[in-house]
Amino acid sequence: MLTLLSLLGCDGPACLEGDTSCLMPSPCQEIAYTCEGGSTEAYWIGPDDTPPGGMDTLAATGDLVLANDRIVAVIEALDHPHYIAPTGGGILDLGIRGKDNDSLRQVFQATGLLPEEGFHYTSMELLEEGDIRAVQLLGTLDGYPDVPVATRYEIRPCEPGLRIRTEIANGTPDALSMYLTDAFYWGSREIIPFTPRAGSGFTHPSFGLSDIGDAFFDVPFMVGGLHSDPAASYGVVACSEESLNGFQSDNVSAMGPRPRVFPSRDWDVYERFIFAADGASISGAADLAWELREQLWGEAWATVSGVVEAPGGVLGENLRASLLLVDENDVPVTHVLPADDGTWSARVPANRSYTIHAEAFGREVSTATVKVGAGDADAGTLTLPAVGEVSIDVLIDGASDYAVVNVIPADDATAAATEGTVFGFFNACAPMLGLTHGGSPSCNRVIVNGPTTIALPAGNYDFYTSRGPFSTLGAARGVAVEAITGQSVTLEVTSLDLQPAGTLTGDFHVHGGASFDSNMPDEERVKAFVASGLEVVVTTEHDVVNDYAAAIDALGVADRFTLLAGTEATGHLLFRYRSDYGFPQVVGHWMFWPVAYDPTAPWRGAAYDEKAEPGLLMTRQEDVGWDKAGGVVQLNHPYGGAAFGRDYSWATAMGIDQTLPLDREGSSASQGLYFHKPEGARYSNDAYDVQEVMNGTLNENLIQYRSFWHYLLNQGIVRGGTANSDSHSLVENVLGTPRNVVFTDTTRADFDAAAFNADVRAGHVMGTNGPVLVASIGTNTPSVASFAPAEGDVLHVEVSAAPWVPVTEVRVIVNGTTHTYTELAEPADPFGMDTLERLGLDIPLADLLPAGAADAWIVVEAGTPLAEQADLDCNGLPDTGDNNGDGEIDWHDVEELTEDPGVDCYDVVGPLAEPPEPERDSPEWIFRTVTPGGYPMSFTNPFLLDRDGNGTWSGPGLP
Amino acid sequence: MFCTEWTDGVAQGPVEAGLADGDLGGAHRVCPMTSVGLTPGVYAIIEPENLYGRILATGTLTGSWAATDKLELYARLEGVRMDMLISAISTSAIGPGYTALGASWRGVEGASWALAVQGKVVLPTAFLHDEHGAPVGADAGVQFVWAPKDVLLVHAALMPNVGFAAGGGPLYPRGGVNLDLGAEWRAFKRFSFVLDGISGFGRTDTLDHAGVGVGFRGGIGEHAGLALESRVPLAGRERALTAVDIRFDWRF
Repeated sequence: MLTLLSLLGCDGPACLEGDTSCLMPSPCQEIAYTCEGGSTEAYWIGPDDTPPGGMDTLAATGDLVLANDRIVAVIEALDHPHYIAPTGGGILDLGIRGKDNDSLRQVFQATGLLPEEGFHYTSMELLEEGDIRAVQLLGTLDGYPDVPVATRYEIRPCEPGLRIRTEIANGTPDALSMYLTDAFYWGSREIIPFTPRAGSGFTHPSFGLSDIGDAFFDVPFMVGGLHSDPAASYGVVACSEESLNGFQSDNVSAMGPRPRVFPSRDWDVYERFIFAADGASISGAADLAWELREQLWGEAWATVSGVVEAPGGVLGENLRASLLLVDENDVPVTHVLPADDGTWSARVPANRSYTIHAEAFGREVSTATVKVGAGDADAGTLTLPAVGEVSIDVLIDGASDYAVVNVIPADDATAAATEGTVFGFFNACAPMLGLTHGGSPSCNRVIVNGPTTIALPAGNYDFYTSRGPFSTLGAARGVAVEAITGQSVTLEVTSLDLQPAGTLTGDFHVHGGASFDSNMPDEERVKAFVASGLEVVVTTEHDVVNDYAAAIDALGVADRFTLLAGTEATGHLLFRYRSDYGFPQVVGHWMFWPVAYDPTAPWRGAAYDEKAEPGLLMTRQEDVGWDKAGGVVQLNHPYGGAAFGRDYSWATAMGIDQTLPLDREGSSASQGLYFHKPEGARYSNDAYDVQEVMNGTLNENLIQYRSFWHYLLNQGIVRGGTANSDSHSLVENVLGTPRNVVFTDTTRADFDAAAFNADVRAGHVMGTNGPVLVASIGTNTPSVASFAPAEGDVLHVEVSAAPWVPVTEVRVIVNGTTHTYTELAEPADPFGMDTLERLGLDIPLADLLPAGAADAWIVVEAGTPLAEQADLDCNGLPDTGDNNGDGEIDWHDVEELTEDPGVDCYDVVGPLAEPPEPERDSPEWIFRTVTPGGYPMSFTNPFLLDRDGNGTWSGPGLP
Repeated sequence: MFCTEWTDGVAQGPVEAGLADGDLGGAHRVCPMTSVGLTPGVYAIIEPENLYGRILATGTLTGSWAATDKLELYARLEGVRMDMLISAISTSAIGPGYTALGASWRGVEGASWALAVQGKVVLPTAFLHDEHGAPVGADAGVQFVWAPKDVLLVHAALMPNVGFAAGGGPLYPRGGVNLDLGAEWRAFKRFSFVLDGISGFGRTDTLDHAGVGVGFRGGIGEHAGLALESRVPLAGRERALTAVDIRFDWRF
């Protein structure tokens, strides 16, 4: 029938034949909203305009605002592309008028997952038709100039969203696999999508690129909500299809008509309504979705309401209480956060029975049922289990101050009774005090500044805090929390004389809410800066810049630390740059600082960072004002995994074989990419200053990072090493753990950023998550500069640490060969202040260096023993640990192998092994109370020994 | 005349495994037959480097009527067309395919040669594949056949073709010409081998395709025929590795 209608020319596309004066019809004609005083407006944002606010706002001068009396949307200018979209033209911001609650990263159009399947818009026209405002975009698929596309965003008075129509035709001679979709780029750790499908709700199948087909489902709508204020929720319903089809994750949701074969010369039109509602969670958007479904498809809805009681606890704060309504067919239909007074209401499909699942602290705590007819229904009163309250204060050197307190169950029963999740998303926490990646309280952590009261499920808890690695560990252990009653806990922390003189501590990898994968409000982030005790914080938002100035001013903490704004160039758009690899890639993550914050610019002062090799990234960043000579560019986490086929890590993406030398001619194949100079770049890819040797509190890939560092050193390629937290929230990595101790003449009182950065580039850095390590050879200290050792020189090593930091060995690594020293002092009381000095050691160089006069390097490490690892795929990179604990690393330790592959070099390897899980109350366990998952580790930058005295240092060569 | 020499179940004419929908631009045999047949076929594009693959499987019913000893009217109906697109998000569709209605008239001939005028229209009957667009195509051209020996036929076909998409969207008019040159060798009474040089110009690019067509054709008794035929593009814009047909025919 559709074909017959089409043959008659009904409802055909209007803008696919190259006529730029075409006009697409208004979409979603079945939808109608009326109100009094409705209005619309549309304008291009000028330099003096104040764009809509919110944690995720990215509106910039030149972008387009479509607004009415209910919502404000920002459509990005064509030359302001963000994230995965190849050009602008996506929905960048969407919030409730007057609320400044934009929580949306980006919505863009595509026909699949591949880079060439994104919409490449080439024209963008603002339309005014009475009180209708619209923007019409024309273009093609990014990799298919013969596939024309057109999209119209339209706003009308009174409506809670945008009407959208997309047209597409296949002008290629070949059939294409087409999934015409809106991609909702959530970014991770932020919005959680919800679909009303049996067994779904917030629960969605995990998938990878190879099994994504199994993750597609038909749903009547999709909604997604941020779960912390100021928040908005979002949704989409189709107007031209009865259901939507797609997949969901906390990274990306994709919703559109079912994927289909798109024959040559076929065309399609997709109309939908994307809307926003005020408030956290998804009930606001779900209410609108059910309302729209009635208008579009005649599905009746009713309002169900009720009251929740929670003795001992205030409601309405993120996870404190929430309600999931599931119908008789196991279809979750909405999710509600009760108001502070316990009242709640939500729209649901009429004429069904519902089970109300009440959740608190990340756990289901009770259920009730309600039958809903054609009219509104009262669900009555739901009573949640009573909770207790604890007032926490932290005294730093006797005075209340900002601190991050970790709340840990004191016994297994409490752990089992309190472990929860955010609606099944993210990692589990015990107890789950607040959103895993929101502001405080978050997971089992809370920021305090003076007595701070939190609600807690009844149980026995330990409370721990520190002011970074150079303080005592504040602890209150075995605190019994009872329902209803209150408790007070005071943790005392004393600064220890551990930080070497003439140093500043810094974390050069820190994210906040401006990053696409962080939901941490700016003020919460700044509180954590202070709590960390860091002296220099380099803020490095993904793709953008943020200077936190407003939050710092609001909290009055400008004198507590020095902030250097930077950016983490994060590849999203896959492109082909590696000549010996068949698939498009990104180039991992690269850090630049300092970068001036520009609130009117599309990336807030950062350069556009897609489809560029590192050398070109440096060039682009320099073109927007970054000072290559005076700033720092850092290679982040050199090895790692990927998300949606996007490599996190440059060395992984290059596919380097560490058994072979790098190709210094700089080809575009794996061994040459390191030195490759991309077209249009002033720098080759190796023109970076430092690399991360430690990244993250868990430090899970340390072995591979240092392997790459040592591989470069062996070839005479010297870059400074750094240690950063890569923290995105209070939870996954602890800000300042690990951190850099920078040996520098500048001070906080008279801070000279250029001098500080110069010392970072020079490798005047010790990286640590606890142990303090100072090493020297004569008057020489670790540096990227070489020196000629004198006859009889000794390596002098001093190790100290807070009593709660176990240090059991010192490793001296010479050209990759490790010498281990284990005679270290052990503190008797991890909660005390004694036994800071652990080791003083003088080692004659003659005992360390190999025979001959070849140049050599020395790196010193301190901490606890590293887990054994092996290289099972023969590329020189450790990849697999003794995961089954049998004392041998072989195929049995490889997660993906079920039988002996019968070859010397495996195709699949891993995972790396972590140090054994410590027993409760052991020194290693106590260390983990404020360093979750981590193990003590510090390292020096290298000593470069010009043993042949020729004035240059050339490295000892590969083993 | 060679048409009377090749009168059993063995198939005749250029290789017909089509690179285009409905075999648009493909030449047809010049000797009229009244027959019915079933032709399963596969068209395959395999491009791992582009994360693209296409397997198009068709089951085509054919029928022809020798209206005179020079004129044949024929029809090809893709009863089943299953299209599988392999990509990051793979899709498939199954339903009826395209319908072709054609005619071939051997208008001029000598003792060992003939010149035929041929043409067909391809109708947009793949309703479940083309959801909105409705591709229509037609070709018309000439085929020259020469029989230098009793067991050898040489054929050359020039087939201009045009197409466009009805259905309310862009028309996408395309036109080109196919030029095929080949020979059939009847090695045994009921077995022949055909080798064609195939080419197409102008429809999707300057050079649509250039390649070879091969066929192995057998007869089963006087009426039944079985053929395995393939076209393999070697150059040009065409992305297919091959198109392969297996033809079962019953000749009346």
